[in-house]
Amino acid sequence: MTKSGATQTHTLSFGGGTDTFSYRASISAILQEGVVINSNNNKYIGRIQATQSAIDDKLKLTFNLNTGITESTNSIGSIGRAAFTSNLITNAYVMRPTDPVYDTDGTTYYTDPNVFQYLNPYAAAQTVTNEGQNDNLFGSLKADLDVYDGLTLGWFGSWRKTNSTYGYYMPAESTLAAAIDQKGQANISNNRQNEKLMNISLSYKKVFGDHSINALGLYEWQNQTYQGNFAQARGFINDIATYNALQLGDLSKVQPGDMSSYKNDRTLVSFLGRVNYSYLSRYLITASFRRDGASVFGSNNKWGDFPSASVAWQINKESFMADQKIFNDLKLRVGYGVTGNQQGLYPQNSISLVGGSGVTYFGGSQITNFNVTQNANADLSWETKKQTNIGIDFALLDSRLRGTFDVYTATTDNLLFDYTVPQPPYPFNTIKANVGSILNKGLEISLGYDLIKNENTILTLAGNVSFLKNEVLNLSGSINGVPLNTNYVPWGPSSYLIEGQPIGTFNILHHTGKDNANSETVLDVDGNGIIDQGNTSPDRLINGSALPTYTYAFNPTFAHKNLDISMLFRGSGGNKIYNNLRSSLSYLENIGKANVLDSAIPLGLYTSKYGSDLWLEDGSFLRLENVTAGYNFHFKTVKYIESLRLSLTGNNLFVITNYSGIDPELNMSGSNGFGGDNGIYPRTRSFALGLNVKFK
Amino acid sequence: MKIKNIVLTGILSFLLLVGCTNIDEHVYDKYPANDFYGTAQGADVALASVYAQVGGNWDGVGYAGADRGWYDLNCFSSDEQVIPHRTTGDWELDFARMYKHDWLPTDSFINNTWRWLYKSIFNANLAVNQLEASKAEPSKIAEAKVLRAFFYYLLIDDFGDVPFYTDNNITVDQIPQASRKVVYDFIVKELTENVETLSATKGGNYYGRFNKWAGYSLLAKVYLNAEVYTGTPEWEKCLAACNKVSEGGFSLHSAAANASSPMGNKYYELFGDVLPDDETILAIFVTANVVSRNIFTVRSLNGPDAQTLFGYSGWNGTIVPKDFFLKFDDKDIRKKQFRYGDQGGGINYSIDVASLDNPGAAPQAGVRNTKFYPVTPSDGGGASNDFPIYRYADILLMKAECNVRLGNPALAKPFVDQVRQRAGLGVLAANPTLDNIYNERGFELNWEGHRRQDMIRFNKFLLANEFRGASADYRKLFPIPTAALDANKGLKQNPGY
Repeated sequence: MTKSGATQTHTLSFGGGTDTFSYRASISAILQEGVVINSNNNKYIGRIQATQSAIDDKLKLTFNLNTGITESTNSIGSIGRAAFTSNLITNAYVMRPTDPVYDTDGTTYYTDPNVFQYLNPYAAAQTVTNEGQNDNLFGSLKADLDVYDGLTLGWFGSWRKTNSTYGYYMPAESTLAAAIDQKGQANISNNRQNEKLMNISLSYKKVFGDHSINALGLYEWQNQTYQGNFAQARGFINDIATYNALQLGDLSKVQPGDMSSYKNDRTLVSFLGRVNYSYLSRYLITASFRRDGASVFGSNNKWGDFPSASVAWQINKESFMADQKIFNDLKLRVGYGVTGNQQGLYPQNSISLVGGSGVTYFGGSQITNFNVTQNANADLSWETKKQTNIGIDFALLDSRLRGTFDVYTATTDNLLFDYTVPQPPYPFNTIKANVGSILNKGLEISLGYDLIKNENTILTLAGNVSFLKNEVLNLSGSINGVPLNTNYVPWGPSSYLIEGQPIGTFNILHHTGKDNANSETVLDVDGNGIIDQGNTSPDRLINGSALPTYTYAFNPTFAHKNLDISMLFRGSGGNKIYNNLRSSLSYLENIGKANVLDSAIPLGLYTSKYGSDLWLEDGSFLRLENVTAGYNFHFKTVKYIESLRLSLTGNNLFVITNYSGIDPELNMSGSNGFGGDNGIYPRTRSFALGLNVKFK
Repeated sequence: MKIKNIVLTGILSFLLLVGCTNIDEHVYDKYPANDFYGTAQGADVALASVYAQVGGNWDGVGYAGADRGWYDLNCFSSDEQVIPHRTTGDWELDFARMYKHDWLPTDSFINNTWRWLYKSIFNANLAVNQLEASKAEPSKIAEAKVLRAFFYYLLIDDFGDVPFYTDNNITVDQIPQASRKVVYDFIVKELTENVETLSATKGGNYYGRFNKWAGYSLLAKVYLNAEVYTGTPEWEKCLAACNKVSEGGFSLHSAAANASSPMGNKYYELFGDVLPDDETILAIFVTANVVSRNIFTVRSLNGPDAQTLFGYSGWNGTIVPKDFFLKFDDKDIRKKQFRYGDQGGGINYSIDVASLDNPGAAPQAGVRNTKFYPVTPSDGGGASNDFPIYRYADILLMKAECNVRLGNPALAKPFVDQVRQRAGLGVLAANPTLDNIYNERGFELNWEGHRRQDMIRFNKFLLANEFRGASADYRKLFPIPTAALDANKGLKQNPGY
């Protein structure tokens, strides 16, 4: 299923100009082969940047044009039988290790007719076509006009257009049940995205003796429009045309949903005013106020006001610090701000809409069925975060020791989330709403120390560590004027938002052993003889959280003359992972049906009705993310070449962890849910050899 | 000069801003709900969308939907069918739990059924509301109300005391969990007030819809089970409603031999494409993959067996438990629906099933069923057989039951004999007993969604069987799904769970 993948990156860039005009252009190609068979990704990028000054340098125009083309052949992301869906690699882990790839004839792919929807992952990897093309064009123009004595008028506009086309074809020989049933199934989806942004700013910069002021007023307008269509056909005589000729499919097999299109958009308008004031470069005050309006919110709640202010004190510039030799830099920062968030909210969430929902039979004929599409929430409004932070920046010992300390506390109110609502009366059981608040607290420290620093050699030890603590303060509020008292909001497998607990707290049944039939037993906490598996069950126990409580990185760098070496270690911990994949591979009932781990034998569990804390593991890890060694050659005598750099890079070299799964750093997307491991596409280890040539 | 520049720039910027603060939401690819349903077409569509709920589909949606919906909940908890866990690893244990009366309040069958029914009631409320607002024909308003009563009847049948509401613009704190009796009274009132207004047309535009005869059949069903719901039997009223159905001019469909049918008999047309309107009172229209789907045969047959018969693989799921199967008489044409023993091609279905859950049933263990022998279009995702909700054979057996229960078994006999003779059996030697009727209902109406209700009414539901001991009385109601209890703290769980 896997192979070694090679990646090539080629870049050519050049630039030039005159006193009032300069440009820079580059073109790159990144050609990647995937580590799963039949996957690759080729990316081509072209860039031009031009700058022109005019009117005695009072007007400066900057123009940017980027274009990117990506062509990819992708491994299938989500596939499987009705009972188990994951990526191809995970499917290969789970299947019976004794099954052959081919039938005895050596050419047709093996399947087992006694297994419902048997999937041969190798056949799927070899025969499914899954291709994508993505073109994107980005252009921007920035104009700054120096109007009068520190007053600058700016205009900025940008437009990004992204077009993507994905084609997918499953032939019957892929062994996928749907493909066999339909005698091949092909689809094409086209998606277009238009992102426009425009802002106008007026800024004023002036120094009056010891005072300096910098003020900005800005208006910004952003719009994103999403459009696309999808078409699907089934029933092909042969597999030659794959997805390229849908009309060759069997038109009698057209189903509702085989054709669709969509269009929606969102607009964000912002007004921002900001003033920076500094006195003697010692006392710095910043105050800002922004008013944002977003189309995605309910009609009465589209606008939000977000003020912020901060003060900084450059202590080392005070006269009383003049004689000390310890600090080269010492700065104290204090800030408070309110920010708004609209992430996680899609267009049209606030309004009650009717959409197509398949076909129904009524009045003697088949007609399009219409249905209310969602629980509307006209009250949707900005999620707000109020944050206070205090920080110190310092440099000591001739700036050989540098660092910053930051502590912050932030309260998020009107948390945007999918909340469970009662059905009845709602037609659907979740609603996007602003309910609840969350407290985040943290401490961030970063330090760097030059252990050796002389003319030829620098050895720097740098690192940072963050401690994070969060707590769900409240999950109740109201929707459409009705009080909504929620708690134990599902977040991931057996993890929840629970009042008074961190986000993603595991609230899970406790494994106690097995009964006479070797079926798993769990603790009946309330002793009522019934194991309640509901979200608010009293039989569940709180057991850690899915989010790390600390993250850290260590980054030593060494340079000696033309040689440089750097390393990056990265880690996090304090979180737990629900290893669902291990649970799938650990029941002895699966012997002869699916793969079973060695560790399942001593465990001796035949089956289980529960998802217990037996599968909950510590998610801490330390990863050597990167090692790079490079050597620079400088040529003074060669005619065309100025310098040359040779480098060797290794990525993801090792992970130290107690986690038993493939990788404790889960891809949070896909079928995993938060804090659960249902199998991931493995993170690759790569080695790169680099050659950079700089021409004269 | 320069001051003037600044002023001009300021004015210019201000003008730009005024034009660009519009952040109204645009909808390009859907219809705003209020504008849409306010129109006459919108009201019609609202009624059609209630019927869309009746048709079955994936995720346990619909009256006869695919996997873990109302049909599976009400059929697998009875004695007529079950999906065993297989030694191949197929079919999760929750299917077997239904048969073993071990279901949990968190089981998806229960939550799916609840959600389907309340989504249906939401759609029905919307339809009633819009049809009334747009002053639609009285027969359409009556139709929407009868549909709503149908869903409430299914709710109290499974769950007992349930949240009750008829107006969608209401908040959860105003929806009480009404007693089974209160909802029963509402259903009876809605039906008696509206059934007469329904269209009397059979078939055509009314195929798959509640006409007058389907309405009276529903009313008869509600009365038939009145004792279970309220403690007070209503046999006379049930009989009267059945007699009203008979005014529709129904008869039993022929069971003549038919060489061109794969089942060899015209009887199976009752489970085929367009259900014959001599006997069928209310059907679900199915065109697989377009409107609803009928999975009952493909779900039952072993993979290669279905492959040989229809050209696509079977799911190797549902079987007919031995005790149920063995009751059938060999002469009974209704026994043709079963596939058991050697079928050739290496398929040999054993009548015995060693285990329903662990270690599971062997791949070819268990009697299979092809009552709904697939009609085209069909594929591995299901066939296009329509599904009978009410048919006249059921009404005849209801008449027989009411008469026996009212102490007139002699009046009951012709009804039972009629059904038996159509199936190729002889008349009963004596007047029917309740057991005769109970068994006959099993033979005639198996796999049509009636069995759990019948078993409860005849006090058979809790009896021990091959795979479990006697079950506790509280199992006669399903639990309110845990998810519903979590979302609405005002709900009370049924006793025992």
